[in-house]
Amino acid sequence: MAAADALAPSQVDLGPLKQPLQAWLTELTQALAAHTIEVSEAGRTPPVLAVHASQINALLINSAPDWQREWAALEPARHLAQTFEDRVMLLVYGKFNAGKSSLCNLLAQRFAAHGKPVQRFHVQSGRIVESGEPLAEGAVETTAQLQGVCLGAHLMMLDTPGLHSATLENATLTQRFTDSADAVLWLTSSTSPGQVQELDGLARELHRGKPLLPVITRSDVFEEDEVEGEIVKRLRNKSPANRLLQEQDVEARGQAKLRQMGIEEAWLKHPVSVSVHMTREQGQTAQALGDSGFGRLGSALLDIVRSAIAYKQRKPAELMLHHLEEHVLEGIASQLQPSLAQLASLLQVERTRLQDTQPRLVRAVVREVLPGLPALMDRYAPEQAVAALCSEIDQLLRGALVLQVQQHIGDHALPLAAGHEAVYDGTLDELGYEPLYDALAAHIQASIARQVELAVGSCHRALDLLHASILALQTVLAGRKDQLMHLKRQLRDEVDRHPVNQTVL
Amino acid sequence: MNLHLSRDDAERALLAALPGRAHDLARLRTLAEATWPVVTVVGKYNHGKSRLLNEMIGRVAFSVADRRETVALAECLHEGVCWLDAPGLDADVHTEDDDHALRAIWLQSDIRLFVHAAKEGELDVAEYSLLQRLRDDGQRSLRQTLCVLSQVDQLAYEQQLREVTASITAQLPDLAWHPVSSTRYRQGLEGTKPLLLQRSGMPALKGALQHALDRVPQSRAHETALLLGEIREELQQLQTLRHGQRAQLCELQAQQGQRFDHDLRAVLDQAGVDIQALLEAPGPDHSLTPDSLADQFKVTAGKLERNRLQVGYSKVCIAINSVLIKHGVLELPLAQQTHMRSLDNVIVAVLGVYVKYRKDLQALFCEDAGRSRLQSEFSRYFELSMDRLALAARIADVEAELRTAQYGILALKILVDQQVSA
Repeated sequence: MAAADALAPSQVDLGPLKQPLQAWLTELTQALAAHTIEVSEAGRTPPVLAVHASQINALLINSAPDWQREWAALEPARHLAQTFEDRVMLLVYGKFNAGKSSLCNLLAQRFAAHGKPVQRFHVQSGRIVESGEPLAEGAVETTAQLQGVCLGAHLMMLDTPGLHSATLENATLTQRFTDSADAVLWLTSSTSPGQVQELDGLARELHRGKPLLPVITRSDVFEEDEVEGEIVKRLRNKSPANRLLQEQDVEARGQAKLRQMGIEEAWLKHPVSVSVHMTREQGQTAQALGDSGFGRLGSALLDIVRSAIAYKQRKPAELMLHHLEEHVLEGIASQLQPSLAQLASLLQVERTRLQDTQPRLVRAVVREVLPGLPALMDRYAPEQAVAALCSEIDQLLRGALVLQVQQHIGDHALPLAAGHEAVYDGTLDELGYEPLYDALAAHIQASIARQVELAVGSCHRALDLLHASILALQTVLAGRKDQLMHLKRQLRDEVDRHPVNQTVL
Repeated sequence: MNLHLSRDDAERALLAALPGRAHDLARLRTLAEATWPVVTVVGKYNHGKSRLLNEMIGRVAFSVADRRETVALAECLHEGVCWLDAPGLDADVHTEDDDHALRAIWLQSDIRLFVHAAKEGELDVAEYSLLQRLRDDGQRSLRQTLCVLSQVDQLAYEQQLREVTASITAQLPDLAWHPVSSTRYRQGLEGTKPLLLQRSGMPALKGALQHALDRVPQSRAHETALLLGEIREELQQLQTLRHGQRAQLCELQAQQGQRFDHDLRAVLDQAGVDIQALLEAPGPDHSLTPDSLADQFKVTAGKLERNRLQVGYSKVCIAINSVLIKHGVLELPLAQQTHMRSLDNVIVAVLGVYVKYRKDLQALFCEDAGRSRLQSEFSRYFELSMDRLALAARIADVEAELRTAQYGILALKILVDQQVSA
């Protein structure tokens, strides 16, 4: 098992790869600030859209500082990675009571037994504190802090507080450090092995291309008998056939889960069953270690460490890339893009509403203005006061338009086109009463239709502007994303061209 | 609605009124049709559910293996009890289990046995939230949940059992746990080992289950009454709501109608007065004096008189049309529209385009019969106007929804009868 210690990661100069990543972020920040949503021509954008647009603008402007804070919050993980840059770091992941601490303690004992150095530590308010005590073990949840153990010269196990544990702080604490790991041991208890939904909490690590080794822990069973009025217990390993059954089951369902998560199945290693309890009970002899599965675990560890080295070498650039993918792009995808899509769909709703409202608006104004026409004609006919009649009609019309526009599409709050509209320029008696009425009525109706058309049209133009700036922003975002994916491929290809410097002793 | 409705019909009627009650209706049907009490065993896979079931029943009815097994819903009838082995409580990659689990836990069960392996320590999030829901449901429906701490033989010491029980009790304080070991029970029975038998916890669990079974008729009656009562309450609220909506809309409809009637009557009365004045003008009536060919380009007394009548009539028409416009009668109903726009108005439709002589005007406007014909004709077009039709359609919609609620109330009576007879 201690052979895993023999793999030493080599160093690659990542400077030329990190620089374009930093440039990418700078350019993105500038592009976002330059593409705020236009809410010009104040008052023409309905409040529901304007509020939404200004929330998007706030996101565009405030994102950069948020990203910086998130980058800073990852400092402990970078610090941890730097402190142990000469070691391959294995993240020990699993539900509380999966036996994480027990496994770490046993591995430490094995390394020590081979005369290899062992150093335990825990992380206290972001600082690494060395300690001599073994990790606490128990039947109920015990691990409340991030702790680990350095094994030999090149290996380190990072024990995480219980996942799915009731304490949220524990989960958050774990998340903050997981990125420093190079590979993952997924511990799953033999009582109910392969609860693949646990892998959801590991989605990020798996997408980061880290190998995953399932370890079926507590692969043992108590046998009892009653001898002379007392219960006698005896622990034994689960049978090889039983273990094979569970390992195949966990592997099959692990693969299905990875497929579902869109992760290459190749990252999943063959599961291994072990019993810490049994090997301890039998004094950790070679026979006991072999029977409880630790021989196979040793080979599996060697294998996973070998697969982890490629990742380890480009880790500093990967940490930066993860930040850009998981905070920056993910933030854009989870907040900005849905907001934009929602704004676009609200905008479409407004358009439909405007279209539906237009004929109703015309009818409402006609119903208000036209019935008053005969009385006006009667009032102005005796003096033949054409100009006065027209101006009165004009006033009536404007009043009704303002009122109905306010009632129907008031949230667009547009100003009506100013200026006098000529209603009629003939004399009052040249046509006769009925033709005059018909002429005036026709003019009024045409005028209403025109004015409403103008009003609704200007609403549509305001929406067009808004739509154009949404599209522009969406184009920028898509372009930036493609660019980052390109840089990501470059990073992974570049490091793969460097031969891995490893010597297996 | 007739009284020969089947239960299916009644459920459909209720579902139409209260789509959110689909699950409750399904549960009521289960309650009406169920005979034997149903005990559902639920918990994560491999926590020993199937083995426990086999020991409770006393024969191997459910398959046991040290891997994931319980996928489909397994069922066993034994000595007056229906046992269900629910699919594992695991959000796995395959989700077809969810439906089975839903049926087994929520729809069919009278009693739930919740199984948690002692070796696993605390409840995890999935177990915790399901137990919480079961406990809350128990308080409401009086369905009982027995909590089983299984495989206690797999703990190293008695002290560990106390630790685990304490931490689970801290998670959900008001639940009592039954520590159980199916393996000890089997060994105890086969080797006649009293201590293993006693420490298996099975006799105690069987006793508790028998007690719970005895209370099933009582809890079923309670749950039936509870669900029926809730549904009745909700239907009545719905009915009240729809009644109110209908009353409001009808009130609006009546108000609009009264205002229209009032304005139309006023304008027709005024038309009667105006036309009367027109006809009573002093001097001889020249309007019927025909013009000769020689008068073609001359202003004659006949022409002047005819023109005076025509202008007066036009004014009346315009006044009436203004009332129509004010009340939204802006066009003919679509079916009546022609391609001649000048003829497409209600005035033309009612009064026609023929020349009106004195006697025509007299009959149309100055006699009660004429005016009431006009009143009713114009009112008909008012009812056919766009906004009026839209309002009538809204009222019809609300009435349909009201009927749905009322059918629901009738359908519930049928359900109640069947439920009681069951």
